[in-house]
Amino acid sequence: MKEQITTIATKINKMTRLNLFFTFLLTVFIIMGCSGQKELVSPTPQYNTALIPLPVSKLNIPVNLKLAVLETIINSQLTGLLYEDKDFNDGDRMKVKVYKRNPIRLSGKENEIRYKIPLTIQVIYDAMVTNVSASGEIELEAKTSFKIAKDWTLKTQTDLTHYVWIKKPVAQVAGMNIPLGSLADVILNNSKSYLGKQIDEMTATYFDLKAIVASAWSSITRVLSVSEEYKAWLLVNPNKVTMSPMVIQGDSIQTYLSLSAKPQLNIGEKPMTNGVTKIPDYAQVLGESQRTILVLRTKLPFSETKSLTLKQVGGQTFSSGKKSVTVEDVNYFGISWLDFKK
Amino acid sequence: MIQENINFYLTLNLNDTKKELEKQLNEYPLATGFRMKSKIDQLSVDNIQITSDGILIDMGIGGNLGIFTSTVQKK
Repeated sequence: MKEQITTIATKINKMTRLNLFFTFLLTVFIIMGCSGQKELVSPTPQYNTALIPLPVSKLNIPVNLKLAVLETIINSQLTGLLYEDKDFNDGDRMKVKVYKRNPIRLSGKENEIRYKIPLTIQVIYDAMVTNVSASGEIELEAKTSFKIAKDWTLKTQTDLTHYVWIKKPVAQVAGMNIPLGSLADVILNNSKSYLGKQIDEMTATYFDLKAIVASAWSSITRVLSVSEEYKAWLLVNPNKVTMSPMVIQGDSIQTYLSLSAKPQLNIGEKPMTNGVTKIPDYAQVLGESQRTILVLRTKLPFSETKSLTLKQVGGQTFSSGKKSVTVEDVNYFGISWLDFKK
Repeated sequence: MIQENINFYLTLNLNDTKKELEKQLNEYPLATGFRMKSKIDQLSVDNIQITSDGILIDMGIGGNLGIFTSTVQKK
């Protein structure tokens, strides 16, 4: 028996720290089936009671939202008739219908999304004695600026900034062309806020940042099963989440989510969560690393190491020459950790 | 021989954890139209402490995560 332990001890010097660790633990075996040997006396357990503090882990998550996706959403939602003024008697003596003529195109710069919205405008003008109708084509330009509220609500503000008549509406009355462009300009001014509001509502529906963050927060505050076989449970233990300002680079809206946490992997019984369920308020940070570095503390109770070890080597007989040992039981305890670490 | 039988625990736990973390993070459905991608490229044991009731192992994990827009689902 002593020879075996000496052999193992000799090997220790050649092994990595991890192998060394487990080999070390093996020396505490209580081996009952070693005939003709004295019972092995266990060394006195020694523990370093001052735990090494678990450093805060940082999960830095770049978020990349393709403008093309937003463009597809907007185009799928804004179709056909976009705006209608059915009332002659609202001060302008016109009825107006505004249709999307071609797909809306998106681009962006810094913290603004810009749109080009090609429209067809149909105007019916109340000329007292008769009504005259005309249609024209216009390209609107709009921009959306965005900011995030404390509760993670994405607030957008879309304004029509500019428009260019591709074809001004011209009415034909008694064989004469009467341009209605200037009157239609009035209507456009009236419909500005309507179209902007439509885009803002769509953005809020499809890019519900608050819901995304809430869903992610809910996922990471739960106890996650990592391995059923080893009864391994992951607790991320997040305590802070921040986000960099959203900026448009190239064809994407980009930002960084950063999560501070002290994750733990527990082996054995399912642990309780730390009870933090409320999403921390939005906090803006500038510039984050793209890389995620986390330190995961694994808690492996001796009851589990015993159970796992017995599952692996329990009842097995190991021979060396004429001697043999049968593993009937295993107990783990710690000893001289500081020496071991050297 | 006994040692070989025991060493697998830590290796398995590390590999299981890496695989499971990647599995859970990759393509994780965050919200409609969004997905997460992860790549873990660093896995190490930073510290091991023995306490009176068990072993604490601090594993360092490094990699890259990202949230991307995925296919658009019409509402």
